[in-house]
Amino acid sequence: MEGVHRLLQRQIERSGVKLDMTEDGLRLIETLDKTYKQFEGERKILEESAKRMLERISSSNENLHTIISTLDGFNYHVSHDLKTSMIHTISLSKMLQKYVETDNPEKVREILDKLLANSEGGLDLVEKFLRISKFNSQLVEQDLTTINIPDLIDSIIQKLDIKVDYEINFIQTDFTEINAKEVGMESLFYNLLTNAIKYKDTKRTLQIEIRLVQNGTFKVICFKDNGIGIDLELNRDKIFKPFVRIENELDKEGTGVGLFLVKKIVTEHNGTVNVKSALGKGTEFILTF
Amino acid sequence: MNQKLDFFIIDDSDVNNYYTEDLLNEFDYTNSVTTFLKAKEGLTELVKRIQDKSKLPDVVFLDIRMPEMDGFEFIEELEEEIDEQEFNVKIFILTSSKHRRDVEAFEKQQIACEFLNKPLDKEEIMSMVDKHFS
Repeated sequence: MEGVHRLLQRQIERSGVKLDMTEDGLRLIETLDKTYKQFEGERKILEESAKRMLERISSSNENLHTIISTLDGFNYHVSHDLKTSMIHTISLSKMLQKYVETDNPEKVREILDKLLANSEGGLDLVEKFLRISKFNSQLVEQDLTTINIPDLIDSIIQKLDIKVDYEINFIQTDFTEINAKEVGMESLFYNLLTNAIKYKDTKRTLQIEIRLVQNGTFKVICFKDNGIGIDLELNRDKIFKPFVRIENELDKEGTGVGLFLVKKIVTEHNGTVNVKSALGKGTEFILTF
Repeated sequence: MNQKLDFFIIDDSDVNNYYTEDLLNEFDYTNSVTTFLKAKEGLTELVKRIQDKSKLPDVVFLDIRMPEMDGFEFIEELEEEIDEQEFNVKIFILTSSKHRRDVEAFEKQQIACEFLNKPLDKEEIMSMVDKHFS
């Protein structure tokens, strides 16, 4: 019985059948054994594929969750901002109703100025949201093309007209071309560059180091600056959320959209973003495609 | 009402602060209105007054959605600084939000006692003052 499938051995023992080891009997066992072994193999294949399916389902579930929470956050923000703008209009109009009856033209003028500024701000807001949603649909619709990363970064720098001292170096270039959506890649590097410039450390020259690393089938883009850095313990969850701005010593104005777009573009290419950072040292974004 | 009230308004919107301050100044019982555009600055001032044992405001109007520190983060940090039994400042949430998430967060915490929507009107302030100070 040596070499016979465990399960078959046990079945035979349990049945109490005395086996006559005639040639036919042995052949029968051999045939049964083959069948058992084949079943065993198929069971393993099925188990593997079930496991893979489960993994795939849970990862697409996770993706869906991210998409829903991003959309939810986006809608919440848009409606909140528009509502705020309308509430300001109502508040200031109510004040006008009050002061227009009094003899205080200066106060009325002051309120009117605020009312006008508020309406202009509201218009800017709507235009900003329209730009983002237009970008979204462009990003989804565009086909992949071959993009030369150093050339793209050069052309963005030309357009940016950077006013501060800076150095950009490619430290490693295992690859220079990537198959991606042009509008996405342009926005991606535009946002990474402007982010690095905005949060540069005023005490030193801005240095940006880019590494293009081929890791097996993955293309990894590392974008590292020597800026003021981000306190990741406090802000890890906030970095890529839309319209969330992280407290910083420079008190820089921003829209809170840049890194949200970075994440969005990378996700649209089925990639991932990681960030390493330390306050006062700098920030590194690691994009894996 | 004989008592005179000191108000803090904590809101990143200067228009809201301008409007609410103007509204509060209509009332005889308003002693002072101090506005803060950042939650952190409001918190620092409150904590300083708690430590100095100087006069605290009677009412704090607190916005929820603010950059950097938001209203609920403000409440969390304040909770660590105060003895809830002794702390007698009325905190009124003043927000444009009616979002379920914000209402639930308000219900979970212990420090703020009212959830008000912007823009405040005269009658609402009067009824709140009646409710908490008469």
